[in-house]
Amino acid sequence: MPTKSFRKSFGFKVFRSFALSILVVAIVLSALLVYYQNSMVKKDLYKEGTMLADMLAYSIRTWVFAENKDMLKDAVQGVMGQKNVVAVVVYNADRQVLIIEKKQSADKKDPFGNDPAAAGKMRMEQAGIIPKTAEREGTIGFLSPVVLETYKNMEEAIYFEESPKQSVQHVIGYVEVVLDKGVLRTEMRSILIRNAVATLLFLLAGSVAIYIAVRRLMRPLTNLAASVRSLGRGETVAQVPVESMDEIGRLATDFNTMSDNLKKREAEKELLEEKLRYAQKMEAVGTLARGIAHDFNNILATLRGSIYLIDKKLPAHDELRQYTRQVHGSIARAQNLIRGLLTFSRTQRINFRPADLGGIIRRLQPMLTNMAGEGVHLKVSLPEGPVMAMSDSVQLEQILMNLCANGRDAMPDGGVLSISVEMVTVGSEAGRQYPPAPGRYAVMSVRDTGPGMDEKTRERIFEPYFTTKDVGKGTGLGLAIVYGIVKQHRGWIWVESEKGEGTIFRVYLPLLEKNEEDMENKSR
Amino acid sequence: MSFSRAGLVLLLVLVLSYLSSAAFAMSEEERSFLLMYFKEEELQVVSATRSLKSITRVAENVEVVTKDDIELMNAHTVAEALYFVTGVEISVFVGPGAQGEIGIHGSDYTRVAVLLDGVPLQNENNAVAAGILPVQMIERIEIIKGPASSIWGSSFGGVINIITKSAGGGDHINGLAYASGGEHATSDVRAELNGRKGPIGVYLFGGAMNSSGLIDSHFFHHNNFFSKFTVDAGEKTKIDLSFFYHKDDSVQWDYLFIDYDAFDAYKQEQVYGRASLQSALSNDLDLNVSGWIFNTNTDIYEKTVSTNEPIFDSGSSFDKYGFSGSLTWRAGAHTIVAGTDVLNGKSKANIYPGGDVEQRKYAFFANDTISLGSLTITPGLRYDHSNLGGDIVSPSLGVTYLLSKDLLLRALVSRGFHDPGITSFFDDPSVGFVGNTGIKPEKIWSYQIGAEANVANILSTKLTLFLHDIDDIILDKDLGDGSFTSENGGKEKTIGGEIEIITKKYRGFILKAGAHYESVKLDNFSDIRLFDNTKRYGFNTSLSYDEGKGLRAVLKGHYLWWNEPSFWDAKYNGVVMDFNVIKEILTRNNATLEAFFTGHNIFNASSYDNNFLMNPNRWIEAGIRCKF
Amino acid sequence: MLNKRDPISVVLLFLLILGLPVSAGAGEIVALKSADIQPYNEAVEGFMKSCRCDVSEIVLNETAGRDVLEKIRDADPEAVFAVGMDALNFSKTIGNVPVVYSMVPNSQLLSVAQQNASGVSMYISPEKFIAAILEVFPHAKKIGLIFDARHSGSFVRDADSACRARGIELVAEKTSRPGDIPTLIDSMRGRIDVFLMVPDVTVINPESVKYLLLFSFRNKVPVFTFSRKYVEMGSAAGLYAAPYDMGLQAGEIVQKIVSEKNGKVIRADARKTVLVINRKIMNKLGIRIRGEVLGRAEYAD
Repeated sequence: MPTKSFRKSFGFKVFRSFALSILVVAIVLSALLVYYQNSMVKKDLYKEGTMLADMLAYSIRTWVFAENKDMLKDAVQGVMGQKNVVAVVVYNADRQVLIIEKKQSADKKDPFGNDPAAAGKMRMEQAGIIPKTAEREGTIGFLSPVVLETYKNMEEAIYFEESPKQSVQHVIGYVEVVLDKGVLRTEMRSILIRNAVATLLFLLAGSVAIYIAVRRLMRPLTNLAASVRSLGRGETVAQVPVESMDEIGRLATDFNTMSDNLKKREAEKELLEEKLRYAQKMEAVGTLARGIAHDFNNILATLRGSIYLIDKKLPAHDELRQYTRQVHGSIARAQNLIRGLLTFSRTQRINFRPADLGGIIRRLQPMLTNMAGEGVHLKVSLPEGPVMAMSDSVQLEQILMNLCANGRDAMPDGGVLSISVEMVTVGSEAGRQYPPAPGRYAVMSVRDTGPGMDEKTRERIFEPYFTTKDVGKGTGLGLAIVYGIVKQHRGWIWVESEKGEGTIFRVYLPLLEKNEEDMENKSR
Repeated sequence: MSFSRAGLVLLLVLVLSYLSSAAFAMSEEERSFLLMYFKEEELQVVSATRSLKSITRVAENVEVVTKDDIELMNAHTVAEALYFVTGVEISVFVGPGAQGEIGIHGSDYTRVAVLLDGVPLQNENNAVAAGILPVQMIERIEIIKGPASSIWGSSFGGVINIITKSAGGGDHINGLAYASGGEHATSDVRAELNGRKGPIGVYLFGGAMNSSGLIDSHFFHHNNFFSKFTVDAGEKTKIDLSFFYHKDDSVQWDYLFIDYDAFDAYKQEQVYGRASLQSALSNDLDLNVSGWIFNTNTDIYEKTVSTNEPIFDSGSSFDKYGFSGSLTWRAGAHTIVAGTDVLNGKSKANIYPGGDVEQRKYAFFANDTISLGSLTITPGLRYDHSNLGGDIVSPSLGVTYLLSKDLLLRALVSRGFHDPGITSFFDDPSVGFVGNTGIKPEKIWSYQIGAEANVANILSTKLTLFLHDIDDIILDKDLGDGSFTSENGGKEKTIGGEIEIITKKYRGFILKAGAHYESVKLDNFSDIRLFDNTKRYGFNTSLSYDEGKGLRAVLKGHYLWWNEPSFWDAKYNGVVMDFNVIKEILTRNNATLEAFFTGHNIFNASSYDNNFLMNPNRWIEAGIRCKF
Repeated sequence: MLNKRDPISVVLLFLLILGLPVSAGAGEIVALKSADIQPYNEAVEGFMKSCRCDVSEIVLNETAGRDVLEKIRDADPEAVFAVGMDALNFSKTIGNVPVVYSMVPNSQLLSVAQQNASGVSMYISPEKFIAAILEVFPHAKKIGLIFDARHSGSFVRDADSACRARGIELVAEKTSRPGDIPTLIDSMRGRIDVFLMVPDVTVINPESVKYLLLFSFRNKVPVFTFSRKYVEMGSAAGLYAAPYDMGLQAGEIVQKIVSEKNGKVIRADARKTVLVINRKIMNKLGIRIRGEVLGRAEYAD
């Protein structure tokens, strides 16, 4: 039955409006019924009164004629025994009372109303006209003439052979049967009660039926809502059953699709989180190493200085000098080791500042050439002037390094690795395939002449841990890191590749125009 | 002189015929012949005149309470049924439950005989607790006001003659179920069955009444059982066997109101059995014999209220048995009844020397009803012998004269006596009483005149004036050393009268009203109790309604100016009003279901002669009765 | 004063009282009534008035029959006055006591073997009826009646001869079934001037009387009846015998029988009759009441 939550529900609203309509219908119907029944009761009462008066008038004509009060009394008492009769008056033709019998009406009032003198006085509306009914307070009198047929002279009858029984009707008296109107009230009361009860039952039954129907109708919605709620709470959501093909059914289908997708995404997110946790672990390791490295470097510096001094104090050909040189070499190796550690663990914090992409490439060129190795020819083409972008140069170096490493790995049998920088304007033209917002960009491209990638590989190229390399050769993080860094720079990375045509990565970074660069410099 | 047993029999027959509606027993042929000439109403048998004629044969002041009256007022006990009877003074009336001692016209309860189908119910002290006697098995109660010793022996204040229902009435098995509940957890449950199979008729009644006390500290539990078997032995002989068992467990009062940590309680068990034979020996001679036993076991004890420890416990028993036989002989204008009564009683109590006392009584009586046209003379004579009280002769002479159709005159002179209670003969050290073995019965000469008139066909009135001249009154005498004894000594003259009016039924209503007055003058009266000359009067009214339409109602009022000495702390300035409304709610196949609603003492009037036992305040009860 | 010391005197007094002579013996007559009803009581009253004897009343339907018989035999009456049909029937079991009846129809005397019973039957001769009719309605030429031959054959024969003697016509319709009566009444329309109601149990019942009266009012044919009851009801006039008068008459018969003691049986019809008229009905029927009738008749209206 209705609970608080139900009372707030859509179902309740449906239920309420249905119930209200039933109420209105029931009330209107029962009002009509009451009206109808009431008029029936009234009609019945009139019928009863008229009938009783007529019957009595007919049956007592002998005694009215004889004016025999004993016999009249017997007959009248028979009528008095009737339920609603409170008084009976019999008049003779001169409208004098022959007999009057009264009993108390239900409300203890005199059947002739407030005027006791009215008892037994036949009312005449107009001279000589006897009304058929006489309404009084609480009672209605029904009047009926007592008629006696008498036959014409027998001698005359001989001449009217066709209708020898021709008769004359004489009114020899009147009968008044007074009925208690109280019965109307009690009947009315019982009609009202009956109807009220019926209405109530109808309402009750209707409400229950509607409640059940609404509940039934609302069940898919409620299920859906519950699923939505638990989805909202992040709980696991089972498939919502689709019970119909109507709007609610479609809604359920859509919801199921949605929740499926959400589930997939959730799984991806979980994976990312896993990776993040890994990165964090590595970061932590890094932080630790950095701290150790720093102190260790200081110790090594002290050692190195001391060895240098000892070496200086020793005679040039002293036998001991070979040992000091070995120590010095070891210290240098240790210092290199420390440097590597420090490099590995460097902080990912982005330190944006205007940087010339060309300058960064030029600075890294010898290292990149080394990295490319024997079979790969590195070709760098840079514009004359600087191409500035707000960036963290260290991170840009990493991008470059990762992309170059990727290119080199794609060309194990050698090839050409081209690096270039240019300035590009992205318009708002339709049909554009990549999404950077319209504007000016600095674009850094790295191109290899390897075997290229198929469509499938290209789509997943930036996913973390996606790798085409043999197990153990790559972390699968390289391009993902690139992707992340580019995103952090509010840029865009794009890859074009055709099987057998090589691959080109383009990194779009918002171009920092000259005056912007100035402003940046000034604000510093 | 007086009233004869035949007179009583006649009275009963006539009262019965008055009660039963007259049937038209004429042959159909004669009736249809007569109907050609006469109106139906001219052929109605007018029973009222006949019964009036016959009541004329009784010179005593007799009143009858019928089972219909009892039902209409919803009385539970005999005390309640008699409470509103003019001239009856019920002392220590606590509603149903206990006590309720019936006095009549200034004679206290010990002087009034209470008989159940002729068997005296008095205990060893001549007391009957009418407040514990159930009413369901009662057909009617006849109250004879004034002495009737020439018929019944010791009974000088009057006789309460309880007549039980006959067994096997009606053609089919009929019965009743009754349940009523009221305030103070008062309940009354009764069941009744009556049927006949061949010559054997059976009547059974069982009932239980309980209350947590209509006045404080006065709870009670009653259980009653009554059965009667009737065997028709041939056309002219009838044998009745009846059995009555009553058990009563009640607390009478506590003394907490005077800071005394005690209550008095009362346990009683009564067993009654009676066998009787009525036989018409010839057309003129009827024989009526009966034998009976009546045993009462009473345990009165006092305990502390707080710890329920016994303070005292006084058990007693009174077992009696008896025999009655009478012959009724009708010869010409004479109807003569002669017979004998024998009673043997044994009373056991811890106060008697040797443990028990025997009482042996026998009596012979004869009376005649002589009908001489409108004059009836009823002489009566009875001789009583008792091993304790000696011999006594009680004559009576009654005369009635029907002066006109509507006026009857009555006159009665009768000698009556009252046996002292058995305890008067023996010491009771617990209260310092010294027994008197020489004590004699109290004696009375009673003179009564009365008239019964039918006034203008609207109402009947009954007027009675009486003079009671009492001698040898038993007095409690102080012996000076803290003990006291009983002895005959005082004289008393009581004059008084009563008038009763009853209207004819008008639109279902009957109004009854009655008033009585008595003035008691004591002479040579040195009693340690605080009796004094007194004038006492009372009124009773009753307005009943029954139009035969399923609704019956009655409103009764009772007022009695006890005029008791202040010692008793009596209070009687209120009119006790009771009402009862009975509504038929269902009638089906001879079965009727009625609901009733009764209000007792609706205005909380005080009317008691002893502040130890006050009359109950208003209590309301309602219930249903199913007759089938 | 009586007291317990002299019980003997009390006993003596008592016996004295018992021995009081009670006069109920000589000339006693038992009035045996079928029932304790007013008409019978009136008859007994009339009887007591004329018989000048001690009468003790016994009501038949009050006690079982045997007791009544015993009572009557014990009373040893000189005669039994049987009032009503049941009483007369019962009286034949009494035996040797002369029986005088009253309040019984003539027909019973024929059917029941009480040949030795004397009395007054509730019977008014047709001659008296016809005479009375002509007194009240002097212009009547045709008198109608309906009867059952089993009950009223002789009455109608006598009535017919009485009519003939006076030169008027009696239109008599025979029936044995009450159901035919309305048709027979209707058939009299236009054929009669006065309708004579006959005390015949086949004919007289509330329905037929009502129908007859309606016929009377509609056709202005007066009804002449045999009891005051029907005059009150709407018959124009009637002739009846009062129970008191019949009792009176029976009393005289008893006296005669008891005093003469010759075993003679005296049977009589009701001697005294009363003419009763309903003036209202006469007026409504448009019949003038003659002065001499007015003076003599009772009125029931």
